[in-house]
Amino acid sequence: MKSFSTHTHHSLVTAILPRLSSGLVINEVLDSGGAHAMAMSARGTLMQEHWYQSLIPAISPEQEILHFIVPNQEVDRLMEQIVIVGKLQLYGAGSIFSTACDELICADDHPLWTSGNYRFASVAFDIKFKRDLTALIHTTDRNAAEPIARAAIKAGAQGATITYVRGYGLRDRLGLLRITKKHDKELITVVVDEYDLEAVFQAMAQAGRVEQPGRGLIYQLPVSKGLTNLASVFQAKKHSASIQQMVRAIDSLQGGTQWRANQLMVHDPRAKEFVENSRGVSKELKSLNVVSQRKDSAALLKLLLDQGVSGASVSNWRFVEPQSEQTQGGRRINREFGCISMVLAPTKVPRLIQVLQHAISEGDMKATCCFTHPVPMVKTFAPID
Amino acid sequence: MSQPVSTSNSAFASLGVRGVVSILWRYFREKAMEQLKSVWFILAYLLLFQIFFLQLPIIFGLTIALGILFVVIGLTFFMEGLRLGLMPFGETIGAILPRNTKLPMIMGFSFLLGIGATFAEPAISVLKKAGSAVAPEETPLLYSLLNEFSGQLIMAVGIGVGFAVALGVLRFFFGWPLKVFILPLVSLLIGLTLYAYFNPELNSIIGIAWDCGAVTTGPVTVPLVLALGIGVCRIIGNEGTGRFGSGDAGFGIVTLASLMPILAVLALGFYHYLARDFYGAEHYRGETATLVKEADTQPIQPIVAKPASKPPRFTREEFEAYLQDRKFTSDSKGYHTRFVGGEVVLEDGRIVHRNVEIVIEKAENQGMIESFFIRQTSRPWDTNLQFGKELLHAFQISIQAILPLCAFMFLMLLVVLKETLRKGDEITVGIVFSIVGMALFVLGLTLGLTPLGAQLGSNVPVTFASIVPWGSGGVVPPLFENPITGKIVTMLFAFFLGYGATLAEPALNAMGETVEDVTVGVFKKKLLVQVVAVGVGLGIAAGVAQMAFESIDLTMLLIPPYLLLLLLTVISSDEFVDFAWDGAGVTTGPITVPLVLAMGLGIGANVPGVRDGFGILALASVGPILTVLLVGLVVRRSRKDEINAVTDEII
Repeated sequence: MKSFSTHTHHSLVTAILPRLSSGLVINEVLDSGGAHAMAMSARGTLMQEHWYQSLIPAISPEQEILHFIVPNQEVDRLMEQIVIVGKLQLYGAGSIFSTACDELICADDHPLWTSGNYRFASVAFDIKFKRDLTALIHTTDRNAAEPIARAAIKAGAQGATITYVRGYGLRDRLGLLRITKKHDKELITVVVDEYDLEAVFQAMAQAGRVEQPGRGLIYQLPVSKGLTNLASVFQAKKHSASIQQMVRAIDSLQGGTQWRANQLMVHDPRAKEFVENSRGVSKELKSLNVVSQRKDSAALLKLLLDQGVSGASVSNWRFVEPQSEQTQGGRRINREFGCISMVLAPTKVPRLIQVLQHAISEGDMKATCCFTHPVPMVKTFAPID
Repeated sequence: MSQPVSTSNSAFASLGVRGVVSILWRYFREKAMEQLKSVWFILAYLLLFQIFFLQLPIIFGLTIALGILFVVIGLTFFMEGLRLGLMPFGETIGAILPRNTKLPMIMGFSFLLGIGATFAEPAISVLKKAGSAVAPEETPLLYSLLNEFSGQLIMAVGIGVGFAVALGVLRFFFGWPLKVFILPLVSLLIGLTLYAYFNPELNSIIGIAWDCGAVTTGPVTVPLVLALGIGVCRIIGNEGTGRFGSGDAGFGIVTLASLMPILAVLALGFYHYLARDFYGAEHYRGETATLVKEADTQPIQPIVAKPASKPPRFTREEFEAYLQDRKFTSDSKGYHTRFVGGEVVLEDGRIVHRNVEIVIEKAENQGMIESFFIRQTSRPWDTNLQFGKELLHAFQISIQAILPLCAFMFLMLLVVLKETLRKGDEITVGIVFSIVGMALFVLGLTLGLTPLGAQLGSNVPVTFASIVPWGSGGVVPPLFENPITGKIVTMLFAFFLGYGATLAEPALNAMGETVEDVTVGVFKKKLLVQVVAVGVGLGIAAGVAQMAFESIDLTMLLIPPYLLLLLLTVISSDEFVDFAWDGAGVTTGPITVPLVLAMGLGIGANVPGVRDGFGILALASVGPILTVLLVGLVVRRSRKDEINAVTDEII
């Protein structure tokens, strides 16, 4: 029997970085005594400024999403370090945010980030994290994400990041007939000011047509604090100075990024109405995330579906640890973790966790953990109960 | 959450037979439409060109239509089989390898996999057949390689591919960029080729060596090897290397697998050249008497439209009939009249020919060809075809190509890696799909696409020369008076033929999907496939131009582009180098090759002094590398600001 420990003072730190800087960030964090980094590939979305750009298949910026599950007292220092290494104060350099976990339940063999080992010393730091941010996450079919991401940017989100996940649910009850439907889904992550939440939520939900069956779902995730600086427009060549250069110049003149807060936007009152009352909106739910080795995630997923979970998405993470094996060429051989994410009623969570713990012990699955977040708001075809 | 919880069995039961059939039908229809999207261009193009432009009918139309149907159904199953079975299988093994075994074991496995994939490749058996078509007196070394040493030749190709796969995997372990391999390898190949070119005895093996490189990367090998590389790279981190980008995403093995065999075959040729044991040399051991061809190996019969013979002449009887009433008894189309010599003056506002000879000539025999066409269109089924035998043969090829490889990988997984196969049912279904799909695809090619391509390809020279159309007996005059115009039209045709055929190529489509998947949609499949297809089209058009205008020798035509490629490779970013060279490796597949060869042979037979169409294929591989690298440079230029804004500050 495996033993499990429950922690309530951990947060999930998510950093969205260009591929070019994510490797650097991982190395720096691990060198400073960080316990792990969980990485997955992603792409950014850029608005097209010229009509002819829509004729050419777009080459979006390559990004990576890094996740860290960190004790609360080290969140600030970790975020600081990532901002400094990734130069996140610059326009287009990425975004970072932390989300408090309600509960983190860890098997004893999971490489948990415990406080004390992380040695990064806080430096004089003049960048303030914003505390009025929130995240929106939208799952949709493969190749359907681009219009939704653009709608989000138009409605005021600063940059949208798309990852590939696999969606499971109804079709997996069909036995071998499941091959008739692809699992491939896209997941759009957007960080917005709380002020823009309703407008962006409405724009994304309408672009994604989530009120129709089989169109995925959109949910809100509270953000404790964060910083967003993702690029959102294809560079127009005719300008002699790039927009990034200009924004950066003003940043240094103003001594910060506060001037960029788009406070002047006037909101459509219908957005609030849409968010409050439209069909398929459910409130006060929880997201349950189950992290296991990739090879075990299929069995856990089947278990969850058998327990009546209506749908779940699985993303694959490269689990980078300081003490991993290396190839002869000095490159890390990482473990692969799968993270099963689902949104459900808070009352169902404890029982599912019990069932999971039992299965993990039975199946001798290694290095598992699961954590929950509050989800204030979800919209999908059928209300989640 | 309110849905009833049900197990898989009860779901089957509650759906009922009709429900199941309806789900399967929708599934099949969706997949078939996907394939139709990739093949419609080449099909519509070939049919329209033959019927409306060349104005020649399709012979054996019904057989060809059936063949095309099989191609689409076959591709549907094959690609779905790749997605469900072969690729996840390869990727799973790739992702287990680095953790469960040590490097020498991994290298050994990769090496064996490469050799196995080569033997399984259906195209490799073509090499064996090609041997009997070579004349030993003209090209003794080539003859020997393809006959006495054909076993060694295939072994050399296999070892080349084996080394390539092993080296490709090793590359991921050490994080070496692909450029490090391409630059010396291609330089070496160019050097050896040039040396061979100026040596009259070695000259003949250049073609076969470069063709072997193209042949090895077929529709089974490519997806498998790609998946293996991606599996390995899934877990090997690139954090410590200082190079961050999708350059390390798992590509590059295909490139090595198409370059190493060239080297291996050239080396084999050089060895036998130095050992002097080929046909006619001092140490030749074979008996000259054994040159009698074996009964069962049939030489490859090029099916081509023949050049027109001299126009027919009037007979004495026809002349006498003409003398009687100054008119022919037969229909008036059969002759034409022209004026020879004399002078033309303007006289009282009239144009007058003085002292002119009037020559009446019998026209090329159009009456005959029309009646022939009527006979042919009323006989749409190729009666020589033995359907059952072809079907059996197709399944034989397909099983031979897929099953042994899968068995090898399965054994490896169980015995060496000591893992069980997860999602075994899906993978089994996928492998069965691949086998059925590939068999139907091969059958469809034999029935439909190859004859259609052969007809059309060999009829294309009608744009600039008088020919006897494929499968008929009459003569058709050139479509364009000016041969230059005709040849330009031929080049245009060649471009679109190459473009369309490449769009339909299964290995390229599989690679495009993989690229899109691995880069999370940063590089779309559509972009890669289109750019590669344009590149192939350009390459083939260049090859046709070279044949039609009889200008330069093939080797001289290949070396400059490859030098240019080396230059572009040096200045391009790693990810585009990977995509470009891998893309080029996958283009010469089962759809492109027969179409292009048929056209090449057709043109070759109608242009005096041109040997064959093999060189076109080599150029077809250069084109896409060039276009992908160029697009990469353009993209990098347009993204420079965005990237620089971030990176110059960070790195």
